[in-house]
Amino acid sequence: MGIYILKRLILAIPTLLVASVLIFSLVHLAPGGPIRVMLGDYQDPVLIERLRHQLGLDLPLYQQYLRWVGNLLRGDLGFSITVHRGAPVAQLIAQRISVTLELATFSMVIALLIAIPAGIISALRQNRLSDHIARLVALAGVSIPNFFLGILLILIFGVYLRQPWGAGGFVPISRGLGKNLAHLVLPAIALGTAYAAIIMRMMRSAMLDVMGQDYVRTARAMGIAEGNIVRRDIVKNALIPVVTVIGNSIGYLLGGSIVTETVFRMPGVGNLVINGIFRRDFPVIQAVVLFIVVLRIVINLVVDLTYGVLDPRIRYGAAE
Amino acid sequence: MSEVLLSIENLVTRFYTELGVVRAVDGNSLQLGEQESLGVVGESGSGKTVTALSVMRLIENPGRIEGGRILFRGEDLLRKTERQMRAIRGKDIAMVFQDSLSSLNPTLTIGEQICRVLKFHLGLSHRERWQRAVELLAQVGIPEPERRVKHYPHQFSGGMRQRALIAMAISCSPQLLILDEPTTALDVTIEAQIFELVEGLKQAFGMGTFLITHDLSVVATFCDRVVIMYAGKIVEEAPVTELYDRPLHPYTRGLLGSIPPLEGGKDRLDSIPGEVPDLINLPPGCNFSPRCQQAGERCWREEPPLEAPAPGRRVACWKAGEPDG
Ligand SMILES: Nc1ncnc2c1ncn2[C@@H]1O[C@H](COP(=O)(O)OP(=O)(O)O)[C@@H](O)[C@H]1O
Ligand code: SF4
Ligand SMILES: [Mg+2]
Repeated sequence: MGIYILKRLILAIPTLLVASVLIFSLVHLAPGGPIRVMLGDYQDPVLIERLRHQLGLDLPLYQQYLRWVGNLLRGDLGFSITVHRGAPVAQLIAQRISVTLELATFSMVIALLIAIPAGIISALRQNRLSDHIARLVALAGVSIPNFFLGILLILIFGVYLRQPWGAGGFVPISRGLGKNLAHLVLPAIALGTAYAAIIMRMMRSAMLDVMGQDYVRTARAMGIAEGNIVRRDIVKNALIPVVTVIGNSIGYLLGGSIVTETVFRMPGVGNLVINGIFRRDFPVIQAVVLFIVVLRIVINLVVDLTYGVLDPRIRYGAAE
Repeated sequence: MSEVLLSIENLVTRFYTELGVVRAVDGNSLQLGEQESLGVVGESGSGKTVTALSVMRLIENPGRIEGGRILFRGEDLLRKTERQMRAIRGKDIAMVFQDSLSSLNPTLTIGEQICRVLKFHLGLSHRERWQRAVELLAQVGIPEPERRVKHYPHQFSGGMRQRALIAMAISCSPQLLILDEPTTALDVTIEAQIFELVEGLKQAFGMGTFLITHDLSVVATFCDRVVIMYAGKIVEEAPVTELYDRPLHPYTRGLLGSIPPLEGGKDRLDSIPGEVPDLINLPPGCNFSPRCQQAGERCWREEPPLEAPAPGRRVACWKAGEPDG
């Protein structure tokens, strides 16, 4: 187990290298730069040159890259140059990460609590009314973009119904868990709906697949009660492929939170990176995107380990 | 024959598919005595598995048992409730399936799968169940049963897995054991070992066995009596020795012609030309007529009835027993 984790971490190094090169080049090759933003209306050529030199933007690109990576390796994520001028990026992320993680986790929990049982019931009642309804809702769920759903929810609950928790914003837990969660409900729905729909469909089709397996027939032929078969043969085996999808789509939740945080005006990491992009804050964009990549790698590793817990064929080797 | 254990009377099982009605079992009758070994032989698709699943009442949509009676110890299984059937399955009648890997749950240990059968039918305490599971594995010849009982199916070899499946099937001492091509996935030596095992268990438990196979050489060593099925119908029945000495149906003769020599592999040497007919569109007259070398005018028009030319023998052929034409 320890060796497996170590191997996976070593394998992650090339991934990180490629990711860092990609992020760096995209940020630096895109038109526009932070200086223009910093100087606003006061575009003095001498000042521009001096700032470029100060920020190291006059160096050849590869040197800038090496400098960045060198700093990263020393644990220095750099400083914001436009969004929060002079603030360490690490600190900016640290202040906001809890908002993003809380949003992503909350929407995932709600989504799974709805999607897994819905998928199970839908499959067990295949082609009956409840199945049709669940599938229709899921189809609608994957078809609506999350920003649109977010705006719609704000319109309904914030604008028409005038609910205090319906207009976006974020209330930290320190001001009460109830208020905190109430403000999270709509963003979590906006973010989690498509996710829930995907998981529900996946669970349903995995269930149907397992229901046709020979071992389910064996269990019936042994006189095992139907409820026990559903639990120990069908659901247990159907969860295996679904867990992979759950894990792989955590990236979707993190990506989606960027948009959702913007729609609901939440001070999360997604909001930070959007501001960074608008204001060409190179260190902020680079560090946050790389941070999200690292987060995904870690999550994928955790998911793979979970997979081993569920599936003995991965946990133990082949026949003796 | 001693007391009748299982008596199938005019069983009709059909599948209502989009392409049409599949006449998988078309009005068959057969009997199995207590502790008797019956072989059911026929090419793939002739309705053997569907017959067995009908006995277990495990026919699923779009299939339906449409007629007949299935008397088990005199009681009609077709009149039992699902709940009553559940108490019978695995306890009084058990079934071993073809492919041991796909027939076992990959995420439960062998022990867990045996123990839950024991739990449903016999109760017993947790400890007693596990102890019994270990004994059962030992009984079917699995070495180191205390260790093996905690293993998952994929950690077993094919032969050992089939033994484990048999252990599960006999766990509640059934009176009837149905074996559906239990050795098709295994090589010849392992196959022989499995049949030796089942033979021993049959004696020990006094079970009747219903062995489905498409291999007549297996039947010769294992069964008392044979039923030959073709396209959903029984076409011949005989005590094993008589069947080999004097097959009456041209199809049976074809099958006997395709038994490989003992040393050989499992490959068919001289299989019957042509294919099993489509059970949705059966030919008029005798089902075998398109492939039968002896087929004549009457065969294409009229279906031959299943008749009893001698005690213990049945055959459905207009030219039964005539030498090959
Ligand atoms: N679930 C099903 N749906 C439709 N047709 C089926 C189904 N199960 C079996 N059949 C048909 O019933 C016929 C007999 O099948 P089976 O009993 O499995 O043959 P075998 O003698 O090889 O065991 C075949 O034509 C098969 O296609
Ligand atoms: S009835 Fe005719 S066609 Fe059918 S098996 Fe006998 S001889 Fe052949
Ligand atoms: Mg079969």
